Amino acid sequence: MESSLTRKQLLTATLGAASAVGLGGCANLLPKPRKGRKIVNFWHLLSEPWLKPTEEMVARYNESQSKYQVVPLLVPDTSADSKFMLSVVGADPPDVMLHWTQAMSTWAEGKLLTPLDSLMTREEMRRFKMESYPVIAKSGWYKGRLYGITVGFDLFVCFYRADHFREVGIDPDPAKFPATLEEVVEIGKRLDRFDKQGNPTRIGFLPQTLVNYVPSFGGWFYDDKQNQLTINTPQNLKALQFMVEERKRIGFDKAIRFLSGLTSSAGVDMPFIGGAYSIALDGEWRVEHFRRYAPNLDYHTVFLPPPKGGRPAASFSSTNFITIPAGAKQVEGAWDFIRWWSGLQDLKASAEFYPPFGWMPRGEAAVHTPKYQEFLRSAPQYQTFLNLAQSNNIEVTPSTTYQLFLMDRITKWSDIALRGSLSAEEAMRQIETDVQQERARRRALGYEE
Amino acid sequence: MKKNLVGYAFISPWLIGFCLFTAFPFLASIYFSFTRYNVVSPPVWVGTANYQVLLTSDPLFWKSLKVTLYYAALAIPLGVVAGVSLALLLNLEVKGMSVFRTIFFLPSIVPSVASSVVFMWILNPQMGLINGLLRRFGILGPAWLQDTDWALRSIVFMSLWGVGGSMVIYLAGLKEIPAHLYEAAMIDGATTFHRMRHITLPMLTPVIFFNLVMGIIGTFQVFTEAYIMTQGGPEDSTLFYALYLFQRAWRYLDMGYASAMAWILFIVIMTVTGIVYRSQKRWVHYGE
Amino acid sequence: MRSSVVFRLSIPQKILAYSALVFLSIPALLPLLWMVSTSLKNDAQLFVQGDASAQPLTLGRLIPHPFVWQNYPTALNMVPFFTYLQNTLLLCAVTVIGACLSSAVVAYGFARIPFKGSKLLFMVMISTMALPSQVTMIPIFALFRWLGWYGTYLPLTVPTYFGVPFYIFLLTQFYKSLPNELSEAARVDGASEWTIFARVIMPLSKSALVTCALFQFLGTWNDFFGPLLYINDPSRYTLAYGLQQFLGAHGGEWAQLMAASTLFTAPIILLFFFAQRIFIQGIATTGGKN
Repeated sequence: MESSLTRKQLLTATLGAASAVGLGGCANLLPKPRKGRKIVNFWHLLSEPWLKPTEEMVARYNESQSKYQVVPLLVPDTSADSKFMLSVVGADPPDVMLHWTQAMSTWAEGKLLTPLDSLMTREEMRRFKMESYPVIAKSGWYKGRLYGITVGFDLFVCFYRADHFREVGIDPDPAKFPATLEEVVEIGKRLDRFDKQGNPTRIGFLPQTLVNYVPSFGGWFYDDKQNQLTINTPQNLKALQFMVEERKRIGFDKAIRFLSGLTSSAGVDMPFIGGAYSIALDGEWRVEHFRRYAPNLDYHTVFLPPPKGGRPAASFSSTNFITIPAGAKQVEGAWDFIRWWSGLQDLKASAEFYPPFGWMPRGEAAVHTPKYQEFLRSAPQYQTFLNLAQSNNIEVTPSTTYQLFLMDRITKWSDIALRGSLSAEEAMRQIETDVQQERARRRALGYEE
Repeated sequence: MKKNLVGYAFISPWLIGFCLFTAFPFLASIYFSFTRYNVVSPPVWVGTANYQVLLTSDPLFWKSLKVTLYYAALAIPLGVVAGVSLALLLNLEVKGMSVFRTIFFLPSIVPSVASSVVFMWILNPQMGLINGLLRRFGILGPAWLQDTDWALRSIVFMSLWGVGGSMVIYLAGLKEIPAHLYEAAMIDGATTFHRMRHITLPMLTPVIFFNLVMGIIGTFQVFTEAYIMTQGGPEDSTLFYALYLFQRAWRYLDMGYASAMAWILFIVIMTVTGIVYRSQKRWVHYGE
Repeated sequence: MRSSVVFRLSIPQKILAYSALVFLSIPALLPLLWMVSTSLKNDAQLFVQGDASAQPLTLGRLIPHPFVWQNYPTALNMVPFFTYLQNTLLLCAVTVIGACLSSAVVAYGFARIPFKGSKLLFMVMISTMALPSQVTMIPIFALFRWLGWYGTYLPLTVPTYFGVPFYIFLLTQFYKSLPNELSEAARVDGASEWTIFARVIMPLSKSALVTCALFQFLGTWNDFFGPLLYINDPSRYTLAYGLQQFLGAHGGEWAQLMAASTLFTAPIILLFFFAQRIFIQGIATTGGKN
């Protein structure tokens, strides 16, 4: 048996330590509000390497005016959606939030967001529609109201390593890049490298995300004009079959292992920098990342070549939105910050906020500014994205209330097919079944479509 | 009369807390389970629609129930066997035993957030400790948390790592077995196996029963490990019931549906616990 | 406690026992050692360059070479660790006090005052332990929202002040084991039940209370779900939640992640070594008497 003295000491020590730390007040990394300013809480998902640019951008906004102080908070995307909903539901939301989950309509329908058009002047709305790139002008709407303004496009093009191409005797000149996806696959095969056991050490070209390939195959999951689902179509199926074929070539299990050995975070050990891939479909922010982490990386960018009979200059755009959650306490400040960031206040001036993120500004006018041109000169590979932004073949997330469910199911079933557990046909059927079941469920419960 | 008043006064904190944080939410959740509710807008009565949809046309509901039952069927018996064996081993009288007890107990107090993070790293197919060791023996280890067949088993392994918590309870149970039973058996010339079969294990059954019931209640609510490590994947192989319920509530914002799920969980736990409770007459040995 | 019988082991049996113990200790300890070892390495030591199958893991790789201490300052710079620690300890202190005091009062009522309905209510209380938290999660959230407590510590602390069934159960068992003469003597002197509880019983129940306190401390320290649901403001984050956020933001940076995990786990292990015997004993009482 312990003596009671020791226990007493323990209890005192525990409580003592607690109060000591409580009173002591330790080094605090959290920002303190400045006097006379209204606080605008800003939640975002921008972990490194976007974290610093975000903080710098916010600091610049805070310098640019004296009424508000924006306080940024990183909410990692693993828990961001839940935290956002909990905060709105708990009636203590942030004032501004940046999202990249494709759930704008779901949230708008659930009354979790403040319609932004109610805050815009007629002039601002006119400019928003006129100045913005077509995709941005049509994104963020639900039932005729605008709930989010796009600050990051997220378009996808082909990145390829010039040094790898030369290694196998292919001319890396972008003008000579293959015109069809089939030819890209052939080049990819020549670029594969394996170890003695037959495990890949480099994969020439490994298609990874279904939604990024479907537009080039001429398909999509929703028809905006007819307002109907188009899930299990021949084009969509062909896209998935193509991806599954490529996995099969490497070996399903080997591909999974290969991918799990790669880091997902940006930095000097990024797979493309490290040479794990020779050709990769990736987003516009990567240009800035490569410029920062591997300034001498020898690579080019081109539009993803369509398969034979496919659609050229096509891409999925999973835009990043800035929104004002419903019940935000500092709506004026939030809106002021959004106007500033999105360039509604001054599109040309906004040109300089975007390069550090590796994002495109909201409209073309900002591109033709000295600041942005300077950025383009330092990262010429970026021009491909600016060209793609003009394309009419860009698909966005369907603005239905079950969009989040739809996107989740697409991710899930295509992943299952890419693991080789299910045929592409079966996976597409499953997406269709799941989504129809969810729609039936929503109808049964009396939800809005 | 006064006794009653004083008694109620003493238990009043719990009584009030029970009404506020258990009874009221319990009843409210029955009501919510018959509504469409997202907390922001008031609930709308939908009758039994939530239950109907759940039971007839939600494959993920059945999948998550299956995953949870499969996990329980693996983790609970393995936990009992491992816990009892470890306790028997640690009950031997050899020098330095307290050091070993500490070693085996330690993992059970490591916070589950930390152990989840650590296991993600240990089980990494390329760079992890386990596959590194297996490679030494020329074995190509599975992709663990990223492999559909192994993800759930990985979480079972992780739960076995924390078996020390129930081990100490078994150990305490072993210490409670009266010495005279063994002495009598020795006089009768019973073998070690015989003693184990007829004295140790029967005398330990109340403790096993206790751990079994706690284990059932705990395993049906597993959440943190899956939320942090796999988010339910790959291929929904670790979509635990509590995780799917959380997603329905806080990803798709469907509180009515989630409440109906919670109620079904409650009924499942009650049924399983009830069966185990009923069965105790057959195998649990009370008294000497 | 009844004395247990001693089985003398022969030398070969002892050798067998020791080898089993040592062999099993490896999987028990290795994850923690690997965590600490990783936290002291740089990326070059973590990532196997090129052909992984050519470089099997050797025991030598368990020991960092060179030792890289930088991961700790880096991790501490990325998150306000001390703010989280301060918050966590504050929550621990508040919930430990609340849970122990309220549970003791309630347990006294159940154990030592025979009142009408006592048995039934005790059964009700025991059965609430089996109620899955998912059932009450949503209505309780709605309740706290209605009270305007969302985003504060109140949802995490206030409920502990209404007694925690598990501790009430433990303490009730303990109070029942105390001899009746103790309170009878005081009763004859005209002491009220409260006086008996506060002056006679409480001073005797330190060991049982410390057990409850340790459980509550551990529970609050590890609680991830509570802060996930209710805490908004980063200046109020706790360590468990902060660690998960760190994982989300720096998922690929294993060395720093392990440094953060080590910092998070170390205090609990220290506390454990500090209070080892009470800890094990306390947990053992859980199932000792049914």
